[in-house]
Amino acid sequence: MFIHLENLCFTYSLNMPFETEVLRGINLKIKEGEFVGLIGHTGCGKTTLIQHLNGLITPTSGNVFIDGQNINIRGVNMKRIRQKVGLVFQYPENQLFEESIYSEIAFGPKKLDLSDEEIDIRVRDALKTVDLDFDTYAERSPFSLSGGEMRRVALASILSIRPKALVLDEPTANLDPQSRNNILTEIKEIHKKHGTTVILISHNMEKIAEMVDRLLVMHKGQIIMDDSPRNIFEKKYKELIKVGLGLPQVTKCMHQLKSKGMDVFTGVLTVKDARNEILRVCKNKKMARIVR
Amino acid sequence: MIKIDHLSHTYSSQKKNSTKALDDISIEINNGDFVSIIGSNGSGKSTLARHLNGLLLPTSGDVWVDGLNTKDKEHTWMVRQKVGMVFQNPDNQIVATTVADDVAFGLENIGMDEELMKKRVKWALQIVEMDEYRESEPHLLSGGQKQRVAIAGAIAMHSSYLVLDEPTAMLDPRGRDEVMDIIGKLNKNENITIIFITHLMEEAAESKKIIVLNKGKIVLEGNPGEVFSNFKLLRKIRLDIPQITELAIQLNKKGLNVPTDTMRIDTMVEKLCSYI
Amino acid sequence: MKVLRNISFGQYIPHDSLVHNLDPRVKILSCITVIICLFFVDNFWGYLILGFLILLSIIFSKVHLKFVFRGLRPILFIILFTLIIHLFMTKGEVIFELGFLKITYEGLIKGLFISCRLFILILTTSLLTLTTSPISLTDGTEKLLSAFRFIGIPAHEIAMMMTIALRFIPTLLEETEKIMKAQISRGADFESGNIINRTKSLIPILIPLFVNAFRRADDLAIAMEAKCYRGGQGRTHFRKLQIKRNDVLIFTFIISTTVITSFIF
Repeated sequence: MFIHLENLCFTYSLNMPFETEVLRGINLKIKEGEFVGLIGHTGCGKTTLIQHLNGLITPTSGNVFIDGQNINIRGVNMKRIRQKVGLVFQYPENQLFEESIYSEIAFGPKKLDLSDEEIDIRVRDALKTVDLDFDTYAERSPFSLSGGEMRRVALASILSIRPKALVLDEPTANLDPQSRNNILTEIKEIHKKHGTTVILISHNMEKIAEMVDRLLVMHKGQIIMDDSPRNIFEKKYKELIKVGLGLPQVTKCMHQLKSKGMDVFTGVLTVKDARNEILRVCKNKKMARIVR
Repeated sequence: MIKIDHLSHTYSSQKKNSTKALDDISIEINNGDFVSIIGSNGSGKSTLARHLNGLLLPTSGDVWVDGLNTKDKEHTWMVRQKVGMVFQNPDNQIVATTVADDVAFGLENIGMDEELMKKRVKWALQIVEMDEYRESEPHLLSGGQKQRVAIAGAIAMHSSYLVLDEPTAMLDPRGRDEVMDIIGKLNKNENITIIFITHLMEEAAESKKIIVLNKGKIVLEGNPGEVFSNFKLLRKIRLDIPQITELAIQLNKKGLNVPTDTMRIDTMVEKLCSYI
Repeated sequence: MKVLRNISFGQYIPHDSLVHNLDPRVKILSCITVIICLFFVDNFWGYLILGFLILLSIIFSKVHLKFVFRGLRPILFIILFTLIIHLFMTKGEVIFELGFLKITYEGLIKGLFISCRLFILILTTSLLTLTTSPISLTDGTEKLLSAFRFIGIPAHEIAMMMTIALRFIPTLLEETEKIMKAQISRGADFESGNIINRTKSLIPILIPLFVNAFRRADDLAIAMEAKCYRGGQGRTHFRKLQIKRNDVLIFTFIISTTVITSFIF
């Protein structure tokens, strides 16, 4: 078990006037190499939850185990934990500060006391992963880039520490469609190539449905659903709507078709699957008519 | 009416490589219209938006707002009263320490009388449904609420035109819905002309007319149906089409008679059910 | 952090009290007058009268004493330190001896007086910020400063800067926290090492903050221009300040008390 949250509870401003219970008893086990999606309304506790994974926040009660180790007991080397679990916050380009992109991406590895040769390898690797040419970008200032490029540099600066788990909070927020698709492709590549455990928070139902193997739905500080996207969108869609979340467009379409009497399979996540399913049903109806 | 007449704009940084941010744009926007301007990054849509209230002046060509030319310095303030503007970043538009004071900011600038100001502020806040937050501090509001305050501040001057430059780009789905809802109401109930800039097709679908920009030029214009059926061109200029439209295109390829400009789920469902 | 946001910026605690409802100009001027008077008074009775004046104001403000004294906490150390310095360092008639430490009568008196001054000073300014909202403070300051416009004081610009600063401080604090968390997640360490290392470690926070601040300023300037901002010329005020009967009476009372106290004591 790589990530294990046991009865995790967290309250802001405990015992003070504005005390707010944000996480109420989270129990979660994530194996190494899983690709997990996390969805929920703003305010459901997603961002608070992920900050427990690298020790930025300590639980009010409950335990956090990373790679078998309880990270909130005394004497834990937090630096090592933060090397294992890389957190990429929303709008990560807001953390760029170095004079060159090279230094920016080298920042993390430098803090790990690696040799200069090793750091160089990592920087080159990271730039390659985010599809930015080393010779073009290495010596440029991070502030001279477009929004999408800055986002990729910020991602690369976490990749260079080679975390075993990558936690991304809305990595595609405010990106144009092309940049968005690029980053998601890169994340998929990282998962495939290195077996990195990935936790992806997103509001984009369509993309999340396509990419993740397992979907967690949070509501008011609890995980209310934990299943494959297919199962959740097929069987639990009514509850999703009740907590104010949506479905991928094609899945919604299939549900509406079903409610109008068409015998379609509603566990459809992609356009291709929807097309095939609709065609199948139409053909059957045609066959039925011909036979008659 | 806003008349954009052969507008071209070259930024000083572009002069060396002779690219233009805007290249010979001509558009007419009538009172009560709801127009969306879409394009990918670098298409010139934000540049165009800033010409509508004189924040930018044309390198060549003219922009007329109700007969006033934006190049005339004596008319700049009148133009800015007529054309309200809302920007992408909800935080970086709010200047005062409470909601009501921020909405009053524009009115203070034009020297409005205090009694009338109070009435206007109340009116604007009620339209965007933020009146109960009038004494709130901005940093305590959600993104959607901040944008609504920005909208209130823009319309408080009784602007007949409202330009919104990617107002939902930094919002979560709930905030996006709030803002789109208010914009629709402003157009329908208050007859405010809306000029809406976005790169998201689903948002453009709400408007009556869409203008598609690419590299500073208009490449397509028409009502949503007309524009969306040109999916090949849209894809080429890196605009994403909604999943439903993608589905319609694919079904169409396989012989099903579903119109390729379908953007809404209920339209698709209707068509498919009638097909059976 | 969401809850940090919930606490309103500044010490302002709203109430419907006599003091809260006073014109901010009266409050600011009264505060200044009392503070000036403090430095003229050199007599136990004088401090007693001023102290009583402040206590009366606190009572009329309906603000709970615990909030008032909260403002004193950070200064308590300084007051104590000052008292001790004067107790042991002033030359004069020795009244107590412990080894080489000598406490003199003059030292005791001087120490107590200065402590009293600091005490009353902090209480007065605390009361001002506790009972006056940030907007009222900036409005009041602008109105007072505009009396000096003829000698070139840019009253409106100063008030505008104060307003924007007050508006953005909570936002910038939030942003600082976010940046810190992001850098810590990359291995940045703000706590260990000597003073040089710790100062260096602030760079990954300060640079992004500054870059973003400049960007914000740019955006904000454009947004202000779009709303017809062109400086203080011809601007009206949403919140109009009006001097009422209470303002006149109370201000007169405070001025007369302080002036008389300064002269007699």
